[in-house]
Amino acid sequence: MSKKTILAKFTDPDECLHAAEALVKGGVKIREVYSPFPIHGIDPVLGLSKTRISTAAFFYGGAGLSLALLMMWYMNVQDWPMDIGGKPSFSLATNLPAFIPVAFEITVLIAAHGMIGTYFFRTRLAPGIQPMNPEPRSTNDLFVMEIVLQDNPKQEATALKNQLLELGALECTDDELRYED
Amino acid sequence: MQFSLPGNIRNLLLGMMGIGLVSIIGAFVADAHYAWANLLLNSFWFTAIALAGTFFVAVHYVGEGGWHIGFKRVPEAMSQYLPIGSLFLFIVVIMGYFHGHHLYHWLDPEVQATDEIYLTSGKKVWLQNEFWLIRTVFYLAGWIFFTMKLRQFSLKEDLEGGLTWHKKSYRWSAAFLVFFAVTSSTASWDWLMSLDFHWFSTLFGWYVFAGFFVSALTLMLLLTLWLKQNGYMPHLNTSHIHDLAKMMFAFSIFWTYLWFSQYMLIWYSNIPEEINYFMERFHTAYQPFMIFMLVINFAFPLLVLMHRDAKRSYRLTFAAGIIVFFGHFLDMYQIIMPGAMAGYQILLPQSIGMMIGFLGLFLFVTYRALGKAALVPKNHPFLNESKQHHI
Repeated sequence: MSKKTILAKFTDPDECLHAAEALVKGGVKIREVYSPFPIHGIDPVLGLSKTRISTAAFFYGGAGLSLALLMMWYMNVQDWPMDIGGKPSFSLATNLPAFIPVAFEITVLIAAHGMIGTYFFRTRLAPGIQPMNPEPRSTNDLFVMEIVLQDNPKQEATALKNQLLELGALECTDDELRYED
Repeated sequence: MQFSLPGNIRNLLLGMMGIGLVSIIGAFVADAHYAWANLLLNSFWFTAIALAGTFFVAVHYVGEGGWHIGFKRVPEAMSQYLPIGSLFLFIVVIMGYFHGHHLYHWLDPEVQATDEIYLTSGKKVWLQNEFWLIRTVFYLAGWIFFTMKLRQFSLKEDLEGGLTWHKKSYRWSAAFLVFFAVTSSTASWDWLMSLDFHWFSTLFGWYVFAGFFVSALTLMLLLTLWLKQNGYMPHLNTSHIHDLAKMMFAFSIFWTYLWFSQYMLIWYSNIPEEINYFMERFHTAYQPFMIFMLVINFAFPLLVLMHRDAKRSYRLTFAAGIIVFFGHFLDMYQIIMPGAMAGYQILLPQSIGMMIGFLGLFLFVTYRALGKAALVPKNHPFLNESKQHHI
């Protein structure tokens, strides 16, 4: 069974932020805010935990670096030893300067692709999947706040909507929850 | 809020200057050539750090940055050392001109008459004794002129308010940046690269700039942290420190990028007149020194300051700042010494003593300049932006 939600749509990021602050202060639990760009300072208001993508990036980068060095060691030292620019020492360590640019690029490549893959996985974005975003205009010019009614048993739906409109929402619509966390 | 130098810090700085004076005298008694090389190192480095203070302010005027206004007086105060540092640098240059020391081999008329590379590579046009002296005066005078102008506008803005001085600063900053872009490069050729006058590198100016800009950002961070921890800058929050630490981190990486770009091309192509520069540094007793220098200027900030929480920790950034600052002293040392001294020259105590002395003088001048104006620019149009700074 799907849960009933209220979508409050704002046209201004500051109004959305201030409304969220006021609601949270009044004990309302906000499930999510969808916005075309990051709203500065909304994370602590919604009580979001710090993203762990930087930790993931570090490990992707480390994997990329190791992979790059392994690849170049195999190609240029092990499988087919190369003598380039009169530096025939056939060792990865003593010819390291030559390998650094490639190692750097592959570190960046793997880190960036790993991060974007993780991001798509966590936000459930992929071609063909039903978008989880309840309001397409939140990718353009609307800041959309999603409140699940079941999460807020003490709040009455109409009163909540009126409060949201007072706080500057353009409109409030009823919707159903698209996905569970 | 008005800043006044606490007595114990004043005594500490005077003590540092005392150490410096003793070291200079000791150095000249022990080995005058080495003493001149160290004098060049410290005069150039601290003058460049002061200049980077002006550069920091000017870049933020032109980029219309507002986050730094809360501590803008720190780089501004650092830039006030410029006339004094210039005087030292000028002494080194003029003494070279009159053959009072022999750091620059090419100044010698005999070298100019017989050295084939000097005569045939086109260096003869640029490396002329009189031209070199005139250029030195031109750079120093230009930098001092712009620095004093920007400081004067900033102080007038405190008194009068309005946008007039801000707009003026904007235009003068833009002019300064053009002047700085050319002269910071040519100055590093004249004073540092010409120590090894057979050698050349088109990247050298940027590499030197990156080094002294990191040093200046680090010193800025240390001073700002010190002021904040002593209650002088309550309007600064962790975001300001975080951003300063980010700049220190980012420019450490930038420095490495330039160092490596210069190194790798020369290492790879292996042309005798180019590779000689790195042979002197990597295939002599300098090797462990070079590796240590690279580790604390690159690997250390990379691993220690990469994490967000590290950059927001006052203690960690302060400790890291001290190490990075010392690391760039070692970088300056390896730029100058292999060219200026014949053969390997180990880091001697008088060298460290002179650095401490110059640092004491630099901080003394900076603190005095801080005390001469309000610690926060009163009427800067972006002041509120800085107070709201939040990342």
